[in-house]
This record gives sequence, structure tokens and C-alpha cells, in this order.
Amino acid sequence: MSAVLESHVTERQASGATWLAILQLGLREGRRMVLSPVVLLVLGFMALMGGVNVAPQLTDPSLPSRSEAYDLIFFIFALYTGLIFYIACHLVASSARRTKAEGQLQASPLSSRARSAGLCVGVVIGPGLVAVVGMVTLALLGNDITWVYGSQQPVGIAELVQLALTVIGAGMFAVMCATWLRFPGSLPLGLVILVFGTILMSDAERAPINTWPWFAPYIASPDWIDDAWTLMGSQAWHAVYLAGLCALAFCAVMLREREGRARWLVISAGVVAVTAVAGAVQL
Amino acid sequence: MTTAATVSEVRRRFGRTQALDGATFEIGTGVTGLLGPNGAGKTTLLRILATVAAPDSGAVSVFGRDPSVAGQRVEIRRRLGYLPQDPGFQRGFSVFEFIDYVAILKEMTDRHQRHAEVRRVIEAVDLTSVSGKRVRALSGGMRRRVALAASLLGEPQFLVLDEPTAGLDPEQRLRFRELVSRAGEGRAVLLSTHQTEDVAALCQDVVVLDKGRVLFQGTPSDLSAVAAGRVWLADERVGSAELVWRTGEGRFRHLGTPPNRAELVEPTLEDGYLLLVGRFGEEAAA
Repeated sequence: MSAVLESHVTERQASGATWLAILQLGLREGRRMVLSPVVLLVLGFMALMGGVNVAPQLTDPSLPSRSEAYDLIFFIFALYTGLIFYIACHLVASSARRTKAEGQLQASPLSSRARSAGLCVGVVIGPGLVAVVGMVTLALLGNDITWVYGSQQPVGIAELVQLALTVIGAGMFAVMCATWLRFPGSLPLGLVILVFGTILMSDAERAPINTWPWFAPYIASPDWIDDAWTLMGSQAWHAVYLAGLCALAFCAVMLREREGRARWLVISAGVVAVTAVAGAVQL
Repeated sequence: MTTAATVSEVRRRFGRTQALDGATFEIGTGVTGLLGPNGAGKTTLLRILATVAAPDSGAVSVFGRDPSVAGQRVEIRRRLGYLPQDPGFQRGFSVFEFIDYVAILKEMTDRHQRHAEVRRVIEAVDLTSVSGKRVRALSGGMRRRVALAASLLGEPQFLVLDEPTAGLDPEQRLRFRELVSRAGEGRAVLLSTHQTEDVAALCQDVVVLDKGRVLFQGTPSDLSAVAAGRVWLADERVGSAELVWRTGEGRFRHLGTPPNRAELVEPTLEDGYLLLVGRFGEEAAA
């Protein structure tokens, strides 16, 4: 045996292919997340129940009023969509581990980190796109409607961006849980942390006064909540702050792999700094 | 002959079990068979060569590259096809979708070319008629062929197959032999199996592993020659033989030291393997 078998693949071709493959993987994973039976069943059920609830209130039986439709879509996104996508994204992100398919996938050129990056891209492309469509619908519906709670105007653009970011954030949190907590039961554990953590931290009376504004100060329009806290600060900066939290979840996913961790620690430190500044400025 | 991979003094331990204990050998172009009893360390060795696991000590080189270095490991993976012993499949994927998914992980980014390649490997394993079916709805043998198809994507230069014929019917095994034989032309295939007849039919080189050590490396005829003069047929069972079994013709085939005037027969690769592994077992016990 003398020579060593060589490949026809050039280094440059391979490097470009990796990024394109991550993007294509993201498209594939995003589609899996959106078409998850959990999403289709639960969102379909909610839309149906919402429609049944709204129908008797309609003056025109053929179409819901704009404010009723706005109300329905807003609450589905504000309260449930994040949780539903948390479950769907976790199921997709943990599917290779649960089905013992990792053996074959690990031998592929896309590393575990690249595959995790593909999952995060999938969260942005899949659930993120659903959220954007929902927010655009709300923005269109919200124009000149008579708000059901009597406010002068519906939620603003910055708040709609916040809503979309909470959906993306839930998906990122799910990928983070699936990546780090690699055992059966990590899905419900993460769900409990997500739900009860949010309830605890958004309860101004129970949560430490210094932490509460960092978690849920401006989740709704000032017209909605009669609280002096909500009248201060910046909705736009809160959106930036939420984007920072999503980026931090992404960094946590990237930090799972040992190789190249130092570089991601530096990047994460930068994201923490930016998020902290946004968190302080929003107050 | 061209070297595809070298394994040098590789050791790997799982708790108290020494899975690999200084394994050393070379893999060249063509088909190399890896034989060994259960627990010999074959799967561990294959996982290391497939860059899925790392050794505790020793050196591994694939295409002259070191899999312990991240950049070089990716280079190896770009030229590698791997069929694990127990492949799993994510829920909800059809045959086409699963293989297409693996193709994306193999950085096949041109959609039309990728789909053509996916159709090619599905055709190669004779699954075209079920390509739209859910993988989990298929039989065990068919699922194994799905995984085999995935490992063939991109015509890898080094194909690592861990018991690929387990669960395949005779017709599919013959088809598999044709497939692997073609894959080994100008490229390297490492085939771990318990089917000695597959090794005899396909392999240019054989490695026998036991208790984490390489007992033998050579051609199939070299392995058969290990049993030369030590295989005989008799009408009755002879107690001094190391192994005895009754053949389909009703006679007894014996392996071991033959008695005087024994009816010696031509040894097979399986005879050589059995004697080799049996003798090693005795030596180890002593």
C-alpha cells in the first residue's frame, strides 16, 4: 500500500457548501416545526374554538368584525403560540436523539454544532415566519378598528415585534433545552421552567422588585395595563432586549459543543453586554 | 493498492470493558471484511473509523487525515459513508425525505442534483416502489436498505458498513453484494459482518478481531489456509475435535487436529475463522 486515497472536493467548494447546507437544513427543520402535528392540531383547535366563541357576537354572520378577529389572533399569539412552538421545536430538535438516528447523522460533514445552528435557523424561518404573518395580519386588522377594550389604538409595531420575538424565543429555548438536557423528560421540564418562570417573574407582587421589570415590563400596550410601571420605558428597546435574549439562547446552543467553545464564549459575552444594555435602556 | 485508512495501537475502554486493546491494521481500496465474535470490538472500531467516536489512545488516519483534528475530521466525513449497526429514523420521514435529509447533511446543496442522487441510491437498493412511504412503516430489512442507501450518497470514497446484511433476504443479500462490489472499485469499503460467506464472496482483504486485538489480516484464501489439514469429515463424532457439527448430508464435519487416516476436506474461510478465534480463546484463557 503506497499512495493515500485523495478526494475531488476542493476546500473552497466545501466551505461554501457548509453554509448553504445549514440554510437548507434550516428550511427543512423550519418546515418540520410548522407542520408538526402539535402545531396543526392545537392551533387548529384554538382557531376553531375562537371562531365558535366569536360567531354569536357577530352582527354580520358571514364575517367576524375586525376587532373580534384582532382579539382572537392577538390572544392566540400572546398566550399560546410560543408554548405550542416550544413543544414542536423541542420534538424536532430532540428527534434524532429520541429515535437513535444520531449514529448515522454524526458521521456527516455537518457537525453537531452546524446541525444545531440549522435548527435555530429553522426556528427563525418556520415559527418566525408564522409569527411574522400573524403580526402583519394584526397590523393590517388593527388599522382604524374600534378596540374591544375601549383603548384608542391597538398595540403598536414595537409590541407586535415583541410578540413575534416571544414565539421565536420559545423555539430557541426549546432547541436550547433539547441540546443541553439530553434525557427523556427534558421537554416537560423546560415547559415547566418556561411557564412557571414567566408567571413568577411577571408577577410584580411576588417577584423581586428588581428583577420583574427585566422580564415583563412592557408586554402589552400601556392602554391595557393600568400600572405606572408600564407607562415608563421604551417598547422599541424592549424588542431589542427580547432579540438579545433570543440571541443568547442561540449562543447557549452553540456552546454545547466543546470544540471552538472559546470563540463562542467571546461572542456570547458580547451578546450578554448588548442585551444587558438594551435591558437597562428599556426601563 | 491505495491506503484509505490506518489504525495503529488503538485502545478504547468502556468502564471495565476493554473494547479495543491495541488494534493495528491498514485498509486499502477494495472491500475489506471485518470478522469477529460478539463483543470483539468491531462496532467500536467502525465508529472510530467513521469519526463518530474517538479512541482513548493510539493513532487513526483516514485519507492521511487525523480525525481528532476538527478541520481534518470534516474533510474525512466529506468522503465517508457510514451505516451503523442499529440505524434509527426520525418519525414522520418518508424514505425519500429521510435520504434527502441525510443528503443535506452531506452538503449536497444543489436541489436538482441532490434529488437525482437520492433517486439513484433508492434505485440502487431497490426501494423505488416505497420511496414515498414512511420509513417507520417499512419492515426491518427495508429500513436497513434505507440506511444503506443513505450511506451510499455521493459515492463515498470510504464506506464503513456495520452488519449491513442483517435482516436481508437472500435475494437482497445478493443484490447487496453486487452493490458493495461496485462500491469497492477504486474506493475502500470496510464491511463488518458475521456472514463469512459474504466475506468470501466480496472481500479482497480480511481482518479478524477478537477481544479488541487484531488476530489476523490477509486475504480470504489466507484465512481459509489457517484451517488447511485441520478439517475432516467422518460418519461419527470424534471427541478430540475442537468443533464438530452434522452437515446436511448427515456426516460430521470436524475442525481440529485430525486423527490418522482422516478424510481431509478443503477448508473454507469460515473454518479458518472458527479455528483462529477458538485457538485465541484458549490461549487467552491459558
